[in-house]
Amino acid sequence: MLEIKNLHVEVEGQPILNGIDLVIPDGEVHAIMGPNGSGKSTLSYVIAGKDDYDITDGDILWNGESILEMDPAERVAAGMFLAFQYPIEIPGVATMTFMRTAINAVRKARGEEELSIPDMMKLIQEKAKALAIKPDMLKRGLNVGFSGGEKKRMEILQMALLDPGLCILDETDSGLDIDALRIVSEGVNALRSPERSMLVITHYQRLLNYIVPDKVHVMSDGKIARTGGKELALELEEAGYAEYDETAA
Amino acid sequence: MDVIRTEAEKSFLSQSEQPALTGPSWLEDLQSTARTEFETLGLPNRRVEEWKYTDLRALVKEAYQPAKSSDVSKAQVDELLGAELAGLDSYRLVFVDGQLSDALSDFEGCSGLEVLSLKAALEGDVSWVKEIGSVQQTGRDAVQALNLLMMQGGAAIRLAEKTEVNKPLQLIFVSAVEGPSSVASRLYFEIGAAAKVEIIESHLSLNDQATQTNVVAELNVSDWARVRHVKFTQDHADSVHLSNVIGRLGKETDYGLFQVTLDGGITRNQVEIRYDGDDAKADISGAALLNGKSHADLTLVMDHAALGCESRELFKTVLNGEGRAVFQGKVIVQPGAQKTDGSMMSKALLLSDDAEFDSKPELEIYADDVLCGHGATTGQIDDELLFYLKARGISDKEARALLIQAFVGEALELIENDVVRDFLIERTVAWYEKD
Repeated sequence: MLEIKNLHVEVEGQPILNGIDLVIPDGEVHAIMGPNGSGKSTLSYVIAGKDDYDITDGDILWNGESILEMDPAERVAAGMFLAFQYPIEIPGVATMTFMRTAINAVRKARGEEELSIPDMMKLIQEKAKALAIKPDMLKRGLNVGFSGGEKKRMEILQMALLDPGLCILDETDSGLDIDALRIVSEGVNALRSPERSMLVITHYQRLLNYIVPDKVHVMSDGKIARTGGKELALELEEAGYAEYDETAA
Repeated sequence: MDVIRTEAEKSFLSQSEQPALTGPSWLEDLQSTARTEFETLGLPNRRVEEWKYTDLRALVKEAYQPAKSSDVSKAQVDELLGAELAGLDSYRLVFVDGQLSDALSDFEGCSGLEVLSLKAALEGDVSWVKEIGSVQQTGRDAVQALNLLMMQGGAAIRLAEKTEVNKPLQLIFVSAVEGPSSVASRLYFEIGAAAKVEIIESHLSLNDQATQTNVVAELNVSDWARVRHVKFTQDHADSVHLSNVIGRLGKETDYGLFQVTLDGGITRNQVEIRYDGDDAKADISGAALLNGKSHADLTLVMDHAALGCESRELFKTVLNGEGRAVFQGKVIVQPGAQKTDGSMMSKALLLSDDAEFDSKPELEIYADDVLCGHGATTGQIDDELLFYLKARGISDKEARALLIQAFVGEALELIENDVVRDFLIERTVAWYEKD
């Protein structure tokens, strides 16, 4: 279970998050929607442990324990995973090498045995196939020359391989055509389980037709402005964010 | 003011009064010219443009005594090489403190390959050896002059026309001295027309002693020949390694040199390539990983004197601690050397605040139809890349190691031989994992 309590965050003295309260129980999928600049991506980075943010008040608890003192890798070991809005290209690091390193680092940190190379290859190839990722992509430099859709599928592959308890999807739908959106959503839905929570951040309602949330929150001016069921997303699609932009201003 | 004024300079000059190797009159002439050169120039210092960043007069406080050759076993050589290079199916020339060791070397079985110890070559006054000292032609250089005066050993290697050496030729320089010593050696390669060879040159130290090495490799590459050359050094922190690779390339030749420097004391890798024949190609690349107070200088002169030649350079440097690297790359396009295609890139990754990288690319172009470019970058590990890796559960240390490996890897990938490339990748991984 993820619990965010009265979270205040600043970047270079500028307040970005102004008291977020959010609870995602095990097995639930929550969506956060909101206008650009409302602090959605900041929230995802803060949960993942990026350096550039000052947490001035509040706490984030994962399964009852504060994660604020944990570094990003420790948070992954504890079961948190952030799928990036803009996955980063790393030339010279082969995708397969990167995934092997990540899986074994996480397994080791969780007190599990490291996987042998053949077992690892088998696992990666099997999960890659389900996401229509071609084997030659795994040999290339990480995300180098991948299309937007390929990068997002690669994120979901990593998510599946690292077996997280909390999946945070930061604008996973951005830059995807309808086919890619379907493949990615199917990959995400395959990971839904009673033990796994998800936080889906999106600007558009479209993604939520595929990944149907239990709850929808509207974020505005660094706060949760409204919470409702999945129908709230449809309402926003029709009315837009004008109402929330005004409160932000 | 006297040019020869430091203790080291006086000592070098007095050592050179009795050259270790003497021979025919042409050699005596060369050595006499070299002595005059050294007397006029002294040790290179910051007032000499080419040595601005590597002031040997200030850095070299004393001249060590020449090494006496010691006993080394094959097992010791194998251990130094490590499993990959020791296991590589290759011809071997093993130089113990500069002297070619008959017992440790094995180069039988390749017709067209002729190897003579430098001593034997000079004493026998073999005709093809007379080119020694003639490949260098870019000007006066005190370090090259000292080498002619102080050379104790080395080899002259000849490939007959069309000889394709069927296994890599490993040149293994082992320093086996028990105390600080100097070793000066010279290699002379006469590569026949259309011959092919792969040279793997390593400089290794058995007893972890400080040495002053002065090594000159001259390569006279005849038309259509293809040479791949990898040079690897991992010296003691108090060592001085002065290296010159001097090549003359004939028509449609293809020369590749890849130099790897790990730590060491003061290292100067100087490369001078003269394009004498049309449509020749050279790729002079490398990687340096420096920690502590290591100082490595790569100085390059690509002298295009023929039509349609190509030069490619890619250097990657990783600096930690107070490591300092210097890159000086000069591309000269002589009048009439039209259609020259030159591209030079040097990139440095700084891991500490005290590291320093000095880069000085130069283009001297006297022809109008050429394509020449250069670039240099200096940076630190990118925080965005680091966060991405950490957000996948990879520890900070391991993430940094992956990024360093990726940075150096772009250059190491240019090494054609899989075994040598894997060996050097492993050595570089060990370098950044040790801290």
